[in-house]
Amino acid sequence: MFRDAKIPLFGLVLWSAGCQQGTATLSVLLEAEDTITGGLDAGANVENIRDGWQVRYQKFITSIGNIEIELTGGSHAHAEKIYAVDLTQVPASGLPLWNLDSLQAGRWDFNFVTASTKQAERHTSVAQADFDAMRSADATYLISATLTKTDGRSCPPTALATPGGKPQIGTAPAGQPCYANASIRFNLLVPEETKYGPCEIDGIAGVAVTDGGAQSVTATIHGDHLFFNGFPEGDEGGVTRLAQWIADADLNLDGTVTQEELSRIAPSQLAELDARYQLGGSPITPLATMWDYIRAQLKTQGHMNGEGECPADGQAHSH
Amino acid sequence: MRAQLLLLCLLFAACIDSSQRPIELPLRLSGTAPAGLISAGDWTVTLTEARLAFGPLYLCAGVQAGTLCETARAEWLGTAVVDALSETPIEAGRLHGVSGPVRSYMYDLSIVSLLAQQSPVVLEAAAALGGSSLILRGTATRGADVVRFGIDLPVRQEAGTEIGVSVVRKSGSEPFSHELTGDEAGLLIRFDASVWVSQIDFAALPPGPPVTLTEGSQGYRAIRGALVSGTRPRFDWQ
Repeated sequence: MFRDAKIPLFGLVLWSAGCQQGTATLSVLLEAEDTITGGLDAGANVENIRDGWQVRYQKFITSIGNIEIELTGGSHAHAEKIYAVDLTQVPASGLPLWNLDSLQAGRWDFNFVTASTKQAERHTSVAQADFDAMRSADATYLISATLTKTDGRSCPPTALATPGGKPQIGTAPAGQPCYANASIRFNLLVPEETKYGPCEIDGIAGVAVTDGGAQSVTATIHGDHLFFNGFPEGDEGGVTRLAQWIADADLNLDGTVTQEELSRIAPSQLAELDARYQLGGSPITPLATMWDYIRAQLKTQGHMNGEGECPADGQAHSH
Repeated sequence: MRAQLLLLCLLFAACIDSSQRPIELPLRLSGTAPAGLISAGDWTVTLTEARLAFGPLYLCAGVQAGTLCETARAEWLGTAVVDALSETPIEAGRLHGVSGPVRSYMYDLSIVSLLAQQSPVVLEAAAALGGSSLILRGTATRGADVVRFGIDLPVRQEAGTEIGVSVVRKSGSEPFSHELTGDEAGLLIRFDASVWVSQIDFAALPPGPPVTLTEGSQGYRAIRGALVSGTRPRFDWQ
């Protein structure tokens, strides 16, 4: 019966291995953790900033996209568009930005990137001036935030501080002078492209789609990692959220922490980075400056479906 | 008939098991240079002692170790004290595992955090160092200024950090990839003590009798930071 078959058998095998189209659709949404849209409050609970600072984001713009999914057995699908989006304006239900259709039924690995804004399209949530600034700086992020604390103070490293005429109001436990500083701002343009994935949640990889079905998956960006006392994987419940180190990075006590200041400070110069911090899981080594620290924490913020884990900067996806 | 046989062969080919095989190979540890002149800013440092308690070590298949590495590809569950000022390797023990790619690692410095234990457990090598992961002694000079210093440093997870996770994990910025076959002559890990002292602010230390760098001091944070988030040791497959 097969002797007269016109179709080469090996071609038939190849076709069935990976080139089939299906009828499923996957919608990919962008989700902002509520630490971005609502900020972080001071307090004693696990999710609070434990050293008394309150954090509110004015802008949290991320260039994100280049969705790649891969079916076990080899099929791939892509949604390559990258968008610069202000996550402070993303609705709680998520922002649908990408669609992948004609998918075979099965479980697909899920990957995405945070990219240079030079590759991005401006979303309506982003002002043109901010978009232009990000492109000029080749930035992945533009993050503007304000930290407030009623009795807040800055205790910058003595060797780096330029307090000018500001009166000293006290001394930190490590001995450096402290100055009143109840409101700290930062507005940072951060280049830190990162590939996330393949993502998993509770040990289960990616997302499952069914024939003829329409599923959704979210790429979630967290907003509290800058305040973590380390680089946890998995359960973030084991971390402590602290912000005093940012106040101590205001070297000239003008109420604004800049990239220039962060780049001058070695982690060992901040007395706040004591035994409460465990930095051995940093995705960037060596951690030579606090600017490296900012970049490293931003590398850990990509997740799937809320809390799903996504390895950062894994093996390159190849066809 | 020939076509049916071809299809049968193709089907079997697709099902051939690329099986792993058990591997076991020597693990060696060493320093990178004998005591010499180390530059730390405008200070010159000479170390007279640099003993590190190392282990256990886990090599992982995925690119990210930690909780994403629930089962190691290969592991060494022992500990050993390595003289970081000696280039002569010591035989620390044997790595056990299965063949396949390893793309990340994680290790402790002989004080391990276990989920079932309230406090980290001091293993044999750290116990030999009096409960410390690192003992360092040296002298820093800048012109006529001379500072003698020392530290006995335990490196461990604390109550508010990641319980049950190794203190050091490969970072994304480090190249690390190897196809473990079991035919290797061994794995040699080299530690460079100069990176541990290069960020110490010696100008802040008094001259005279040896200064012990204690918790809360900049020097203590600098060494601890260098051990866990500084330049990592070198892994040489032999």
